[in-house]
Amino acid sequence: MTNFEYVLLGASFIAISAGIVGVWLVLRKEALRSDVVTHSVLPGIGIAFLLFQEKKLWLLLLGAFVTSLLSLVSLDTLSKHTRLKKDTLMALVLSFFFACGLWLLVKIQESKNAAKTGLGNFIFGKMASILPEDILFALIVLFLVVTINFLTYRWLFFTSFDRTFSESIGVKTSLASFIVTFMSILTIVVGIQAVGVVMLSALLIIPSTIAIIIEKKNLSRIFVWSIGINILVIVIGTILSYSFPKTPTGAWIVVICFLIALVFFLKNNKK
Amino acid sequence: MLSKNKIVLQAKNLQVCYGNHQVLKDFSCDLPEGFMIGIIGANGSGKSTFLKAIMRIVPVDSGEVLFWEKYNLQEVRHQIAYLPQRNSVDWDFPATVLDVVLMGLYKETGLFGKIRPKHKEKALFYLEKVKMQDFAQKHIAELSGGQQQRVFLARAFAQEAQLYLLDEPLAGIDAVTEEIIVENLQKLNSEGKTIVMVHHQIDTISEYFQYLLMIRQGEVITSGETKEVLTNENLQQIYGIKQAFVIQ
Amino acid sequence: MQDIWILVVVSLFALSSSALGSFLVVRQMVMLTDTLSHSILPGIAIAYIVQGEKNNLFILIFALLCGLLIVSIINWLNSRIRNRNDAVLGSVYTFFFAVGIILVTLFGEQADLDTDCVLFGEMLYIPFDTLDWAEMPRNFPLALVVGIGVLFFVWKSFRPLSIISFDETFAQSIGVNVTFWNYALTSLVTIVTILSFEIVGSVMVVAMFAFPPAIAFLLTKRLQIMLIISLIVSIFSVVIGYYFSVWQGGSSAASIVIVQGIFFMLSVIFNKVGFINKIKI
Repeated sequence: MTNFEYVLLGASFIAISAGIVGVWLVLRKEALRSDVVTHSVLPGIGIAFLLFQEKKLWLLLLGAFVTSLLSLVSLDTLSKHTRLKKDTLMALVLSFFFACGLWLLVKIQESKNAAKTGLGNFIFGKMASILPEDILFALIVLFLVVTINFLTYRWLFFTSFDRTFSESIGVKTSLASFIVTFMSILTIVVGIQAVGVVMLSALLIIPSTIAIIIEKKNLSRIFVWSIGINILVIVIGTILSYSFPKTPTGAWIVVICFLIALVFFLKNNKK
Repeated sequence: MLSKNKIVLQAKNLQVCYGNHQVLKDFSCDLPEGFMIGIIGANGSGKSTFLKAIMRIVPVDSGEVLFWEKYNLQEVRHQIAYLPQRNSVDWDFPATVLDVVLMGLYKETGLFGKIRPKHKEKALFYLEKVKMQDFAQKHIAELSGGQQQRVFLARAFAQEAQLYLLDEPLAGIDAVTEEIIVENLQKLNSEGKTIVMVHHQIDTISEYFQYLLMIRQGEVITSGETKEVLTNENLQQIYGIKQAFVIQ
Repeated sequence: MQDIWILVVVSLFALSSSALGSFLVVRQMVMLTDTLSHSILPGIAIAYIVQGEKNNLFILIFALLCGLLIVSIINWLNSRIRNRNDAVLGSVYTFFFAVGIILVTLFGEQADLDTDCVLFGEMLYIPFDTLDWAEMPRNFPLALVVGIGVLFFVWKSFRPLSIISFDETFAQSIGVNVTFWNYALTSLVTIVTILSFEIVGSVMVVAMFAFPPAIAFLLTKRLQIMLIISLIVSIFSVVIGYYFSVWQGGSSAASIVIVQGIFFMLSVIFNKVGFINKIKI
């Protein structure tokens, strides 16, 4: 297999995970929450790099996992303990974590030239920076997401559709939220390198929104659509960013996503 | 007559707060088994919160609820069906009418098990009861408000419970739906099930309920058999003076 | 002297954004600035590329056009698609941002614009980029005009703005022209967003709007006092944040946001402990 084929394979793994998680995020109206998560991975990467002084992917991703979880915990704690409304809190948490991340990144770039080995890719994403061993990560995450999804499918369905009913039959909705959060953080962490912090939430949100607009009643078909669209845009995006080497993959993916979305939005209009 | 009925639900000193606002204050009551029980009170008096507190959907600060005189919620949860208010749900969610009713069969299908043809048949059977069998494959957003309420009720029936807690099942629906719902509830009641229902229309209270729980500002004003407690004086107490004139 | 110029210009923007931000926070509209600061990027990029050099007025016009476009697209899509507003918002603004990033990476070099400017802003270049006709930063006159304009606007129209923020229907019923005030507020927010974008970068603009008012919101229950506290907090965080980055390195814009975040945590703790409630502001 050539390098390009490896990259496409890894990209499709990420696409499938994102396709699954995205549907739940949109159905649960947590799309903007995923924006907070994606912006909060940055300080984790910075701290992990400063602590271990090397660019070992799994260490960086571990850092990313920790800070993104921290951002959601602080979001929920703040909304419980202050009078501030949810959207204000999201703006605060998102910009604070991102600022911490940028500050660390600049600090690293000031002190070490070795650091230029592509930490910047985490912000806008570069599919070509995926190495064959990173694909293993993507595969593990894909496996986890698919398994969790199969095991908890009806559970997530119940709590997404009717919270109060689920509580009344003894299903813990907070646990279901945590499962979705966990899956989305996994996907986000594995996608940062390829798609970049800033664009990743779009990859989660847009294809699944299109899928929900195309298919109104059958949830499993929505998943198929969402995964299909995700693979399509991620492959085209990768090819485009190969053709224009300076441009980040994530940006192309978002542009293609949106153009496809626009077509369906217009079709939706006719009905 | 009351003495021979078991107590199906006993609330002892329930306290529920939203922020600094006390919604239920030292709320105690005994509800007898086998009745159609109406919970009535003005808007914001804590009727829905009481049902949610029973099901522990809202956190309860203190107090307890006993079912059938000795069990707590965890032990008898499967014997209770709760019907949320219709607007608590995202009706654009990708689900068909059948999917919703199948939710009610969670005791048989489990949260992880497979859905088999016999489950679908059962769901259809309950849809038929509320005269919605022809809509089984329709998306829930395509239904009218009354039809949505009937689907919700079919789901509650599918839970095959002993005690039904219904949060305003008759709010904002058409006359046909109201007739179908009441008919079904009365049938369940005649089979010995207890139905506790938050209710809004004063004119139908005496027709629908044999027992009433009257609430004002998070406190129980009175409870008892309808013919004893449905007095102008009591209605004035819970609603304020104007509405009381509705009753002869 | 360079430090002073930076502090003056940044403080002027911080004052404008926190004054407007106070109303955005109470009306739960803060995310508007985040959406705008991301989506105006194509406008700014095109202005740079067409012009080949920095021209504030040009950038402002292009960015405004871009902002107008995005608001109408969002409104149009929302009228087509029910019940998925946050998904629509999320997809539209990332799309615009992505287009901007592609433009910047493809054509940025000839226009002296790169992704670092987009992320970090150009705070440190303020004193070096001077006007032709005077020994002052290019940004200064604009910052001064906008700062004074915004503060004057907020001071003069505090009453209608606060009534609208509390209850739009009531405001309408007593004859306040709600549409006019909403447009006035939104356009000022857009202008300040565009101008702050150049200074602190796309992601941190929202912090300049949200943090000082949010801190003030936790410390007081009255809108006037909230406004005053948020103005004071904004100045303090700019000064402390800037000198922190001079001392410790790292991005200055990010340092300011981090300082704001620390102030915010302190105010949450004070608010919880009840220390402030006892003082009774």
